[in-house]
Amino acid sequence: MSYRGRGRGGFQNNNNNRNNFNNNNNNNGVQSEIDQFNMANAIPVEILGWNGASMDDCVKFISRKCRITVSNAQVDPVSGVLKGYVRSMKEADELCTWSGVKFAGQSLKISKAISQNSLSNLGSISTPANGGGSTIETITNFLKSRYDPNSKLLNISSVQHDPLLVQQGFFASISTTSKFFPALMKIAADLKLDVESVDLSSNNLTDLTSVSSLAQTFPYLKNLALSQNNFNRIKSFEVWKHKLNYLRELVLINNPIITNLKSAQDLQIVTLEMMRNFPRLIVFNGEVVRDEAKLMAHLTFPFTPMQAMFFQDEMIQQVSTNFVTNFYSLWDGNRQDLMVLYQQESQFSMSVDSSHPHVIEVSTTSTNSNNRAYGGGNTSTDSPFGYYLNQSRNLTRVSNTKSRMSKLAQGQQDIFKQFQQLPRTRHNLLTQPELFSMESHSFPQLNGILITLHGSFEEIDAPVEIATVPSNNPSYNSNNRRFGNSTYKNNNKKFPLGKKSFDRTFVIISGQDGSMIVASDILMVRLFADGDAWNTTIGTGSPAGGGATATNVNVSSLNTPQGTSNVLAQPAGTAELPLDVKAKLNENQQQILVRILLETKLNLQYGIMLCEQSQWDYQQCINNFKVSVNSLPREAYVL
Amino acid sequence: MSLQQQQILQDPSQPIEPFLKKVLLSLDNQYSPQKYANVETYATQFAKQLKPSAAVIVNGKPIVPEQPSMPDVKLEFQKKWLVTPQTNHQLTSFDCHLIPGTGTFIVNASGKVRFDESGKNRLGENANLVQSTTAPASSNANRNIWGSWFGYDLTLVVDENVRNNDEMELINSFNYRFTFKPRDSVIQI
Repeated sequence: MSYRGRGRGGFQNNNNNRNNFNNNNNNNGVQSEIDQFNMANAIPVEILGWNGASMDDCVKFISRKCRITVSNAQVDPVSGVLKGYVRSMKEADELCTWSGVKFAGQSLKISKAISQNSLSNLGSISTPANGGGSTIETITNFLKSRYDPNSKLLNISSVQHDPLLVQQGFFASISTTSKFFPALMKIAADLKLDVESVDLSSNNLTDLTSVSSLAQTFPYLKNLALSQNNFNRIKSFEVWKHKLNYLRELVLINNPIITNLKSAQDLQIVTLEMMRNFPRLIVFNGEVVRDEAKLMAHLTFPFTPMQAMFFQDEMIQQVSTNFVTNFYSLWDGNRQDLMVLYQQESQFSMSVDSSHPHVIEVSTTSTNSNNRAYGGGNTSTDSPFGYYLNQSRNLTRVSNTKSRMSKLAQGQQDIFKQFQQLPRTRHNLLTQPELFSMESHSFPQLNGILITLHGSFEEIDAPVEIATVPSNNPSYNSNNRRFGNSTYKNNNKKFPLGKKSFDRTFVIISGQDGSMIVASDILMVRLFADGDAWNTTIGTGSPAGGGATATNVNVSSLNTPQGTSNVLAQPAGTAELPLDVKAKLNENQQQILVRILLETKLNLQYGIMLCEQSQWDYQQCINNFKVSVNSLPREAYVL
Repeated sequence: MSLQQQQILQDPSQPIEPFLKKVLLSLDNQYSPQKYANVETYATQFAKQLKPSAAVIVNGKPIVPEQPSMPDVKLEFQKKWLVTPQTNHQLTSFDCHLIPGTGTFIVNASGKVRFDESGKNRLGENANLVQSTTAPASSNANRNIWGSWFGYDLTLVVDENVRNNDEMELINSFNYRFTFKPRDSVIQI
């Protein structure tokens, strides 16, 4: 074992360290001082188009290519923008000249961002009358007084004449003026204001520098008034290019940019530029500039409505959801018990898609940190696929016939061996159903069913067997070819564990005595992506076309259930209900509750409420759910 | 026996990669009047390897033929694909199994796809009511503005006959699913 390998392993296994490293906003001792120093001395930059690889990779790439260190890098969870700091304005200018450089298949867009969307700066706004705490309070009160929840309008016009703020000593110096708006945006984000329109009129703005954070805080903003300011250059709006992708109406009247126009042609140039910056702009200064219906059609993927779950019919729904629930309970529990499902002709293979787009890790202070901040394990210098690469049968990379065949497991023994070489996992099918999506339809060639499941899992432990682990060489393919399957045995090598996503396709058929057989099982493993791709309409009342039912059959045979769904040996999934809930319910009620949670995607509280109001009758629950679906609040669902 | 035939005998998965690439490329082809005689010629080249009776599911939504008496799922899919924004697919991973006794392959492919966000449709028409009168009608106006990458997963059931001819109607089922949606996408799904 080389020094290099040990060093890396030690670092990678220390999750706490990594989290601290990512968490730029922590306020303890030395780190806080460093942060303050950096804030005071550094120039913020923003980088887009970096997500072809990890954040760390991008920062390293810049360091290598441009010889500029981007420090305190973090990713804005809302916009996906990589934000960091460079040492001086000169460095920032130089870095901006690299904008457009190719990185991981995309062009990096690099720009200076003067705003600092961070609360840590708030305390430094000088408010002679009050300390830092009441500064936040003052801004909060100001925001509340300027927000109208009915029209979803945030009126921040003529801010510098606001008596409340003037009285508190805001805007006494240029420094506090420039910090005010980012602070305002940060607090607005924390208050989770639902804002569709913003009025920024009469604020003496000459460009967007001080207000650029608006686009990060309200990326779905529809209407924006910037009238009665001092905008005089079209170029100033490039800061928001493709950042306000839902902006429908923009008002710029009484700005030099409009009042100084000499001809209709000049106006046309300005209008076209605004249309380029804001892809959904329909109304500019009161004039309709695009055919809205046509534009919407051009910008919509027309296969709607999207459904997280698709089942060809009820029978297939029942069989496939039973199958998946049971399968994963054993996959996570004891994979040996799955072997009854595989026969001599059964096939299994696993492949890694390491370049699949994925969720980017963010600071753990993010509001939805539970979902996303799973640590830097997946973006570390060590491969997050260390336990997988040796087996990976990604056929775009494995071209050699021998390797292709050797990575395909056939028959119980081979398949079990491969199963044991994959990390031990947890699939939260019941507690986080929103992370999964599934399609299932008949496979007439074998009178079977084809099931494709997409979702995520947590790696909870290293594989039972660690066979041939490739070295740290990222080009694992060539490594495999060179060393085959025999060398580089190292049972002590540890790789970071984390969250992953996957797609898995099963062909299941009926065997003798009604038992089930998996004829084919293809697993694709990739970096973590949440369920956003199929949950866009979550909470709008659709019961999502079905959902996995929790009925179960005897796991040892996995019979195709025919009227057996109520006679269950071991109800699946009820184990995941909280103990205090279980204690109050009988077994039948637990099963109904699990089934309702899965099918309706309601959260536990609302699920129990629905069951209670429906006297614990499954059909009654479904009927009541359908009746009240449109009146249920968003919080009723698992989000 | 040619070398290629020998390889196919040993490794049945050989023909799948070029086939997959062909199908994805057909979905990404850009319309131009010079290249296609008419819009119909253009639309019918999208995934032409689909069987008219195929099971087609996109994002969990099945394609249901408009005329149940004469079901042509392939044509329905092609009509829909014609109104999707211009796409650009990349295949980053795939795997497949030849299922004994069925004459079919199960193929699972995954990769990334991005969309043109310029507001044009596939035929190059935009929704602008303000048109530039100064700039020459250069190719600039028709340039695609690619958005961020989505992730996709595609599961296909393909006839084994793909070994002999991958231009024929071979696809029995086509299940396409977005697996990752970028936050800054202009495209609504």
